Amino acid sequence: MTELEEIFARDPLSLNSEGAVSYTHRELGMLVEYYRNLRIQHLAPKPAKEKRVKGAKVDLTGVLEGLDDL
Amino acid sequence: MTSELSPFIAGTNIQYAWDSTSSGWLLDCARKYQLMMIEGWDTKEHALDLYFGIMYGRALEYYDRLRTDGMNYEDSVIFVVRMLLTETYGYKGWIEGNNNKTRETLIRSVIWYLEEFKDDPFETYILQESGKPAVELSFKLQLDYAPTGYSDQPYMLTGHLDRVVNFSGGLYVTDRKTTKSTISSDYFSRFDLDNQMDIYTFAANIVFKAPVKGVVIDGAQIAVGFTRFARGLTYRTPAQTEEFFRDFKIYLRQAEGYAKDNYWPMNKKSCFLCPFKRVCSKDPAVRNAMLESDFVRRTWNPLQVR
Repeated sequence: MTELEEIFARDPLSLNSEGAVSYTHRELGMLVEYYRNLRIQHLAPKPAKEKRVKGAKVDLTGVLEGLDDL
Repeated sequence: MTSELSPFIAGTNIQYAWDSTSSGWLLDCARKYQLMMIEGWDTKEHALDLYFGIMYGRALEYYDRLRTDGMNYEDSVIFVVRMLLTETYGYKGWIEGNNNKTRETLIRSVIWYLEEFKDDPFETYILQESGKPAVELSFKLQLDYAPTGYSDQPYMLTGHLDRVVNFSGGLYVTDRKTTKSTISSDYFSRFDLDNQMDIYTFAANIVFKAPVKGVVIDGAQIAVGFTRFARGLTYRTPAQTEEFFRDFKIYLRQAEGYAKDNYWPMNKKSCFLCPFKRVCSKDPAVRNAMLESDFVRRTWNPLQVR
């Protein structure tokens, strides 16, 4: 179980790692950071998807010429 | 439900305390109102939608309160997450297979909302009489009419306003909504004819003694892997608010009639998206068994302060 999963699974009335009831400031900060990073990843520009055109001819001239060099 | 908290007149099905949720059911279909408000049936999915929406709204209101009390952004977010983790622990209504509305997507959505609107251009309105910020405002307005024969118990309009803000020289109520659907302009236009927004504008006008122009709606699309936000406005003129009040009175009289007849007719033009359509389409003799097997019991009380 990851630390994050452990936080979600924990009974809030049980003792945390610092011996106090509930969640520590550090644990909550880590959780917040985790979700902020997820958001940054979500908002980051996605690489453009390669377009496939049905029936398009593929020019293999350069590839075939290159094979001669092998 | 204890008798002192009941929204119904004792010993009857005449509801005297109304909110946007219960009046919305009545406007949709009297039979739906009977099943949801009087008998207390609900689908697991709808019960979860309600819970998710309430916890989402409460978390953001808590944040508004912390900020207006002077706490900084980072600490406020931490406090809100702690509150959510604590209050949602042990909730039994999560649905296996519903990956949109989970404890994790709730907490993620709140954190993302606070990031998205970190530099919110809206300024919380300060109540003139108390000098306090207008956040988390539950209202109970006593109307000037009562169910026939019960003049000692006037009708009440109840509800909860998230926040009132100043924006571009006008006052607006804010409301946060969650949905699984993509948020488009159609999403916001539906609120131009919506009893909840009517009630919020009507109530805010009375509570603040200031002309509230409408409602700012912060919509959140809750997907499995992300939450997407959009903001829209819906306006109400004073004449529209007056019209709402007049219509509302007529609907309450109708509800009173249904309760006295102990019969709530179906509105078969509202069945398309109704969760009870499978039940209502069957013979009356088998409907109860279907309700018992496929639905959950849930009490909705407009008098309960959130």
